[in-house]
Amino acid sequence: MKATLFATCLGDQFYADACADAVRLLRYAGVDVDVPQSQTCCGQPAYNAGRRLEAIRMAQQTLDTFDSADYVVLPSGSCAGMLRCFYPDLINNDVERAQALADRTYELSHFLVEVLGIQDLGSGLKGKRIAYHHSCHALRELGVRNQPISLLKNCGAEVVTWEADEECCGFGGLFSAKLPEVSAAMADRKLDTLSTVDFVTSTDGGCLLQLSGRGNRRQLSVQFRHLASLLWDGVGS
Amino acid sequence: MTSVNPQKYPEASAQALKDKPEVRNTVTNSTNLANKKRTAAYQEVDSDTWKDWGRDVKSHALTNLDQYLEQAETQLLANGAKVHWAETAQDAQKILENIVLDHNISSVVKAKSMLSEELGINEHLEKLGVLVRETDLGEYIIQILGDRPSHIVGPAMHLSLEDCQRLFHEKLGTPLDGKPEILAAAAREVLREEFLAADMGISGGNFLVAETGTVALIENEGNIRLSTSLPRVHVALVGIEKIVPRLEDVSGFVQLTSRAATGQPIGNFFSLIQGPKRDGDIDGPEEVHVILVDNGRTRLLADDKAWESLRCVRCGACMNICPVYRQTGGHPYGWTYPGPIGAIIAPGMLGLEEAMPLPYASSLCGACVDVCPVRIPITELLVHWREKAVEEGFTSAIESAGIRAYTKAAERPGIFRAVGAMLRHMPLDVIGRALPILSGWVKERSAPESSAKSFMQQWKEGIE
Amino acid sequence: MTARSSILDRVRIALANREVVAHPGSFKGWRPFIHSGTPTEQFTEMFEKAGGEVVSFKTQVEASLWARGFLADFNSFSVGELAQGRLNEGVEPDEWIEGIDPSVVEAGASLAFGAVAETGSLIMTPQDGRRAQLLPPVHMVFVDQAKIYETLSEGLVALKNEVLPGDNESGGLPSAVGLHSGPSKSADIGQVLVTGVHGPGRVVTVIVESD
Repeated sequence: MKATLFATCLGDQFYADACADAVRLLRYAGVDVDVPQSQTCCGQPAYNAGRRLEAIRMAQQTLDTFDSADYVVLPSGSCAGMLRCFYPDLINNDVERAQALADRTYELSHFLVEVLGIQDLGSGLKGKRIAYHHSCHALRELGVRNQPISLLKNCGAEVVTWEADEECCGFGGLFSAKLPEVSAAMADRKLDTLSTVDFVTSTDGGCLLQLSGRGNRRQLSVQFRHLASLLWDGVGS
Repeated sequence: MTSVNPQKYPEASAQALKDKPEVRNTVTNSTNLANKKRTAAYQEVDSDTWKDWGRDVKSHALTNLDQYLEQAETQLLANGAKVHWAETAQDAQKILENIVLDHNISSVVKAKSMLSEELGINEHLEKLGVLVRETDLGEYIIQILGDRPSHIVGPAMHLSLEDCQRLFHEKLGTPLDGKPEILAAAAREVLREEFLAADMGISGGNFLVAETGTVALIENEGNIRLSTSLPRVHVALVGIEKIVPRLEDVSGFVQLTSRAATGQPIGNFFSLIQGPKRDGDIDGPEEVHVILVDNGRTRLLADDKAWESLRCVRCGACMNICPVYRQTGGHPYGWTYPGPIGAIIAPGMLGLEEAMPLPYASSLCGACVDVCPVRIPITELLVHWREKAVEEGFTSAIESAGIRAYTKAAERPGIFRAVGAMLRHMPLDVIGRALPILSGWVKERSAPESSAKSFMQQWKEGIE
Repeated sequence: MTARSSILDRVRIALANREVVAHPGSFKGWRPFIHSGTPTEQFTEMFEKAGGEVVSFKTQVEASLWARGFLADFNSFSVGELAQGRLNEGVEPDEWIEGIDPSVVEAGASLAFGAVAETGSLIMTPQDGRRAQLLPPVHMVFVDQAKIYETLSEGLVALKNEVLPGDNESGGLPSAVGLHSGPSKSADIGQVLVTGVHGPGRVVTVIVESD
């Protein structure tokens, strides 16, 4: 089986190791991974800012890049959501191709569980207490809710209850920079309701940048680690 | 409603967080409670089917609005009610003023009406020397405090118990540690006198049933029933979008709205008002006036996407679940309607320029879409207004230039990687302070650290 | 050009190219579980859950006897126009109990048009007197078991179709209808629930099982 990885603009720069771990995970699962060099940005930040024309251009670029892929796998719920839920409407002069791409696009944990049928990766997370943050796009656009949690649990982790786990972290792309005080207050709401855990994780790098950025400013000791990296840790020794 | 100031949202929200951190706690607790109740209430029924039905009835009503408005008017007139039409807030104030003068009104009891806030009714009446008393407990609290409502269902929900105890102690002489029952009893005593003495009652309207000419009102306290039954004149202010086609339909909407708003199967008192008292009625108003209000609703109706926001039943579920709203409460939004619904109707009703930057006061998390009882596509409409803001030139030139440059680079992978590589080796807090867009980030957060090697670099070098 | 024609014109222009949405049909209160009890049982459950009280009697005479006893415990009470006859069922005309002004009493008696099981609501009409339904802090309401409707739709349609005393012959809703579903309540003071703010803080439904 072949799958194509879309690292995403944010992943490439800030979560490169997690993207590499995603490649390792897929190979471990028996998948041949390809990484087309012409990939750049899915266009979501532009789309959310109301810049439709720019978003369409980046979507077109992405569509051309991944056109021939059997599966497109992303270590990001929001970018996967962009392709799956918004491309068919956005690329309205090429709806069929856009829809075909959407149908083959998956967030990483969704792909592992639903397409590859994997439940157990290993026991490398035994004894670890993990708080799972639901990225809004993964949860509400893709319906990815249980897959990451069951994968983590099956690696031996204790996934703790977290009152605010489904609440938005306050990233929202440019929102975090335009309304920084409110955005920080949203991150605080998440961080203040955490119990003692080893890691906070999520499918999305943007969310983790937001939470870790605020957490570090507040000098909190909790560690933030991308789901792909934790799951690769989970494969274990 | 005094001044309208959505444009101040960024400063106002930052100020609120700094100066009144307790509001964040109070509102978070209140909305958490409301969300729990609503979730439980939705789970008792096939909420998806209810919401689909609610969406379709409202869309049907709105896409046939002229016919239903005419039918409603005909029925109301047949019921003995008087019907007025107001294009603007000023028109509504004038119509109300004429009724006040015609009937020698000196005192008014008000049932809670967000439309009356929107239209600035209280201020106008007070200028005429009319005594205006809010009777909904939350609105009464706001009135004696001299504050503005912060939420469309619970106007005083930004105030804690301690806030209320201090206020009632000061204004009504209750003990500083008075339990809620004591405070409520004090308010009841004051307001009772007002109900019995008032010349006129003013209400809003949750729904206007075209088939029977009915103004339908939901509440829990009984102050709406009292305000619309005791005084000799009743005036109902009703937005034209409140139309519901049949009497049967309202039986669904009262239940849907109650579950969405407070988690109740139905509001404790539900009034269906057809017109003034008839022969055989012992009591009731001698005259009932219904003022049908536009005030920007037709402008919203004309928008091919945003018209769907007119389905709103004013349940407040969207602001209860909104993670942005709960950080500050409703005041920073600077308008009668805060939160997600405020952000999508303000551009239509006030005009986009005046409503900016409310469509941007959202992370697009979509929680509101999940809970809306009439399935308003709130996040889609936020993006829709953002697109309009870009088209009409209401967004920052720097941001435009930045995104254009970014897009150009994104279309040229080689350049994209090169720029990425260059930025990686600059300290981001330095860039942050230089680039206006990123400066916001570093104000409240540590700058993110780039990975030592980009992923594409690692891929090129081979991943083990 | 009047405001009316101006507004209607703007509506028509706005809708000129809009696709009309069809009415989806009647609201059916879709639920995962149908209530297994009778309408009376469901009404009682809902009303009590909301903080109301429910008592039931086989005949009006029994109900009225109880009701007179209930009201006698208060210093003063009011009686709605239509409730007069019910309250005095089985009493000689010269010994009829009458109430006084609702604004000064401790309790009041009313007669409901009917009730609704699915929402636990009493359907109150104006002929009985609105002040009597709203001003007394304790409110006692007679309702016939035969007029307890399963759904709110049924109850409202029944009301619309029935000709009430004092109405014109063509039926239709009276001047105002109130659905009362329990004691008056508010959580506006620090989110703490209090009862009896404005409307009656205690409501007792007296179900009369048969005529």
